Amino acid sequence: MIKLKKPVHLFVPILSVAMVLLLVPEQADARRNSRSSVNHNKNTNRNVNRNRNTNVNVNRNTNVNVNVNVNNRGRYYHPVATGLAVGAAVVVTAAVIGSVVHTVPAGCVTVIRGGIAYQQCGSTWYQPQYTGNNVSYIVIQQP
Amino acid sequence: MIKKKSISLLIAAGLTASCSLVSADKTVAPEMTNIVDSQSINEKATALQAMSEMSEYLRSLKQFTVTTDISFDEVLDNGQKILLHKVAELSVEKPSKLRATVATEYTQREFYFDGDVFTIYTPELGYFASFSAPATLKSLVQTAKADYDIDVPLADLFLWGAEGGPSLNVDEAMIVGIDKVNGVSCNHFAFREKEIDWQICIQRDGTPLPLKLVITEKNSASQPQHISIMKWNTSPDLSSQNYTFSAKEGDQKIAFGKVKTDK
Repeated sequence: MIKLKKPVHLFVPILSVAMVLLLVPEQADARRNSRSSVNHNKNTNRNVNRNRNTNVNVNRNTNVNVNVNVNNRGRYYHPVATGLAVGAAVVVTAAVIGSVVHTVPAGCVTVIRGGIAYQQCGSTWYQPQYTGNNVSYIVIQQP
Repeated sequence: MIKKKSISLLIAAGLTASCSLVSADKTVAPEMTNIVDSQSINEKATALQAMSEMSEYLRSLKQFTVTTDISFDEVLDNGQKILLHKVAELSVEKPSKLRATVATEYTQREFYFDGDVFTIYTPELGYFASFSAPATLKSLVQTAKADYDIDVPLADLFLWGAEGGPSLNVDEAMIVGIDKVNGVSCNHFAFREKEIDWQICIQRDGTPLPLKLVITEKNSASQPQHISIMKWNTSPDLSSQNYTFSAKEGDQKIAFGKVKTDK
């Protein structure tokens, strides 16, 4: 991870990352899965979809950190549907606190603090959680 | 239409729709507008009767195992559908014990419910999470979905097979014909609801088990489908089955993300 010395320079790489992502056709993120049961639970909230949409955006930023991540550790489903088929290796700034990703970068270590498991990836800390049937990771302040 | 009628006549011979149902439909028919003819009413009654008998049979099972091959669409942002595959294995002891595994080539999920605590576990990550649920399988699958957005595999089995039976709210029902699933003959029905179309194939030999379930979502422009093909064992030996999760060394308990929020 490259640390940028001047904040003004952030703009250029972020913009270029966005441009690159627009040009990568393989960048296909899953929006949703087919419904698995006939009996519709009326209590089911629609927030799930909103979460998914958020994840999709976050995924895009995160994947940029990863060279090629075909090691689909956390997701329930196949990599094609999780936006992992990204070939571009681009460096961006650290993940935003509170954002959620489906996988953590390579080289993270498990750290237990106060009985809770975290993933420390350099200066970025992730807390694993279940969202639905899948494990996702929320970016947190260092515990 | 002629073809459809002949098929339904064929099926009628193989079905156990009661005579009372048929005669009742005849009295209802004249009151109906011309868009609903007696033929479709008969079909709907027959199809619902078959669902009812299947549910009753599911309720009668004290224990079972079922293995299901699931093909399901994942819809990408651009609307493209990708058909994926997973296998689910369930062991069930009524009224409140469930052990299930869902596996793809990439990852696995394990589900445990001992009538008190439900646990979901991802073996390759070593992460698990638990919640308490009321001691029926129906309550479990409803709580899991509503409060934690967890899809228990083949959740319909526990709702159809629950005491009190299913409350089917279908707009249309059709007898499609006779089909075979894994070499077993079954009656194929198709139902329409507001948000989904769904199809089921119910075994014909006096053990009315669901062998195939197809769900088509109509809310999404891509109309994704979810197809389950089931293999049953209604007299398994579950004496050594463990329904309570026990963490291995290195496993970590994690939380559920926030699910229940304002709409």
